[in-house]
Amino acid sequence: MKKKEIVIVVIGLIIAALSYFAISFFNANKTMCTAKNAKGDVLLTFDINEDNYYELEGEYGIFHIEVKNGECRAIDVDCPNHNCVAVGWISPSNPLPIVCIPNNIVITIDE
Amino acid sequence: MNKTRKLAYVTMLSALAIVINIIENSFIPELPMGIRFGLANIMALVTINLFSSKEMLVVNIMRVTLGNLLAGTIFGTRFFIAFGGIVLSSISLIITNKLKCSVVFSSIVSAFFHTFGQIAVVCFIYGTTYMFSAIPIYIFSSVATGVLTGIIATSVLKRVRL
Repeated sequence: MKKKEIVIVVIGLIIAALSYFAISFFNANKTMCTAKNAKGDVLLTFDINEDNYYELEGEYGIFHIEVKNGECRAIDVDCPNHNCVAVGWISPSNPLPIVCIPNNIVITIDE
Repeated sequence: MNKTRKLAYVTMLSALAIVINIIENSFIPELPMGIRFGLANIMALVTINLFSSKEMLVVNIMRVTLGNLLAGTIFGTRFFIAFGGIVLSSISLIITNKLKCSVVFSSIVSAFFHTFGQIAVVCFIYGTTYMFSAIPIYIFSSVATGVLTGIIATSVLKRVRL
């Protein structure tokens, strides 16, 4: 690999690290979580600071959401690949969306 | 090289890409956040360096349509997501090939644009832009997997003789 290319890759990695911290910083004061389907209909809204356990019904099977300690995750989901469970805990400082395509559910952290 | 011979080579490369895709989907466990190794990109890199962009496009389109046809998910959401990823990945591969970059660099760039295309299709289907917040993780993973596939592709290109 030539020198110019290594420089470009390193700059890309630095941009990635900076944008990760910027996203965590900008999302630090959000409290409401929403679960939506592909059409945009809101299925469930909940507060991320209340410990709770929800059960949603998606298009493939049942979808469980556990909220604890200001974080939430998807557990015990009926789906073929379990990408949604593999995301793990999400919180306002780690605001990745939990997406389950067979069940048609997206969980995001909004206001 | 006459046309029949080139057709036979491109067919074999497409078959290899499809088989690698199927093996990767069935046997290699998926990492969290849907990060995949993208080993089928090796065939795209090898094809564009042995032949030209047209053959690479054929191999990639065969990889996505026949791979999904054999897995039973053709024209479903998985097919459109993969198709979006392939389109951006092929375009970026053509551009880096024209700029005469090294194989490892084009591998990293095409791996990143593959995930970027997939995220763009998911965001288009769901109508939100939330998936874009996962891009920093995908930059790291595409650098790592891009280096791996780039190294494998360079070793293949050193040994192949047409």
